Amino acid sequence: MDGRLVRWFLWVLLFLGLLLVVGLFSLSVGSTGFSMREIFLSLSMEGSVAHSIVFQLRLPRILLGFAVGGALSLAGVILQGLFRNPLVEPYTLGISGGAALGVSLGMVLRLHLVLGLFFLPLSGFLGAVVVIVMVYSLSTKRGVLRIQGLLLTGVMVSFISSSLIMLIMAISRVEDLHSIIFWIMGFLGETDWWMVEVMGAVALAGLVLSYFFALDLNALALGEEQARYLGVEVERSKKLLFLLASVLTGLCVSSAGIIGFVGLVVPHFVRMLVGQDHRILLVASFLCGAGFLVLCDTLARTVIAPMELPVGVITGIVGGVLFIYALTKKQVTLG
Amino acid sequence: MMLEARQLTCGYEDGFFLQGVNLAVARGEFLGIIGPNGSGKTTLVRALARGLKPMEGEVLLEGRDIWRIPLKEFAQRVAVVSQDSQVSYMRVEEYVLLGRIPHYGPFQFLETGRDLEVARRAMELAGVTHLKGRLMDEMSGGERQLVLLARALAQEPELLLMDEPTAHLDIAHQVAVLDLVRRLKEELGLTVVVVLHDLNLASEYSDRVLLMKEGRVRAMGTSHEVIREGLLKEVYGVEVLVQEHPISSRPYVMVISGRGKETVAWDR
Repeated sequence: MDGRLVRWFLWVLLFLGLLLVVGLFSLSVGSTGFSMREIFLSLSMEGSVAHSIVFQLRLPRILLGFAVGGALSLAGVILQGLFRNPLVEPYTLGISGGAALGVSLGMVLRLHLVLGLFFLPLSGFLGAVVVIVMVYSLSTKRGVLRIQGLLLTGVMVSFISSSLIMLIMAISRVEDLHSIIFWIMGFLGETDWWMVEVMGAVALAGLVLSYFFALDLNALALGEEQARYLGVEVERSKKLLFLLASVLTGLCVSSAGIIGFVGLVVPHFVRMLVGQDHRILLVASFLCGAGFLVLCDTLARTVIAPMELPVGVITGIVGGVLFIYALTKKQVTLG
Repeated sequence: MMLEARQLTCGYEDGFFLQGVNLAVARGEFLGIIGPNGSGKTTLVRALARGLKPMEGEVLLEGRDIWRIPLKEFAQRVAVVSQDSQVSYMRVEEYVLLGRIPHYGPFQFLETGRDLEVARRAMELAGVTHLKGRLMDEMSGGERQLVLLARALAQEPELLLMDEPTAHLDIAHQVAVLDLVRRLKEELGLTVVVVLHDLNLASEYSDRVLLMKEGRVRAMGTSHEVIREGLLKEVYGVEVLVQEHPISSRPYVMVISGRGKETVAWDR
């Protein structure tokens, strides 16, 4: 069984390598292509065009993509383990709906013009927090968090908020409509360094925190009661894990819009590759999700260049097709 | 006493209750719990396993209220094999290693050599070593039951609580599972509390038998004291013949066809 640690290490190394390749690839392609050599040269040439394209436009976007992709996919693994259901993803819980509603409201009321651009992520995050608190308290009875109730409440909240968003879109001005639609479909382009820093820090902190619950998640695969018989403080773990996944999702949605499928498809594939043990699954999903999103984003900004596609469209198409392909190949189930 | 319940009353929201249950199990004893469907056997096991909180009374593990023992310590001492042990997409060895979770130190991330050794021994004892690379959902009911038992053994418990470990098994596997449990009891000094549906298995393997009726303990004693025609007729409402087993000289229950209860309560 010592071989297992070696195997895990090799997986992490492989995924890190892939991440690096994806990152460099994404740095080099675009409306202006650069060779690796040009990228390295531009490193020292501050003020050059190459430098500003690579380091002020592409790098922050890539880093944000890594952070968002990693965090979404981490939230997906956590929730799938918690619900013992491979079809749960961060957005099933209505968090994205709440965030989208918050942003739409902010845009229609033009608050960002008054309060500054940072208001959009902020209103998104506030929307997410409202939904998290609501779903959480509706599903808690006598101090017990009811997992199935949580799922149903979340799905219903999603429906309600998407209806409200449609209502807002129906009565909003044309110029707002376009930005709402673009935001809802997910976009990594509008990046500030501070956003990258916050998102990156939160994503990494989430990964570290999730490791305190890796064994609890393994035990929860047997069901809540069985996990308790193994000495796991099930209620505490469930609540903290739900909060962790929610905060990660809320922050992702507020900084990059709604990017579907990353949190659903990536953990699924990673589980096929590395197995069910959350001690490897968490970090592997994080790394793969990061790479997958940046790859999709690179596609999004190159396929019809100089125009850009919303990255959520790409992740949806690529992820969905891969998922169906995988389902016809091999049945992976939880529980 | 290893395990004791005093005036234990507990239940679910839908109104099913255990009432005033008293029992005591000595260290190294094999207690079989029997009773009709819906008499509260599973509820009793959950209450003893700390899966259900008492409304009145208490459950004591070596004199200490189980709800005051830290959860982790409790899991190091008591292992539970439930009826609905949900099986996931996991390899047998990984599954058995889950039994080591209660023994993890605060910042331990991987199994130690000792954890692996204990799990290996547990698989060996349960006779499932050859299955260790197989997936949990590829196995037959009998094999799975043995793996569940191996996981419980990996916890290195002093007390083993089992809820119908022989349900849905053929007689060969029923005997294999219970022989193993009895051997563990004898060799490791394990205390065992087992819910058994089959009266003859309960009679054959138990040191003492506890008979439940409508959420209460109707009788508790050796199989000769509990497995009796009159008592069984009263509790199960069916006429049976009890004779002596020719080899073990334990009571042996035979059904008589055509003498069933006219209306069986199908409530639970």
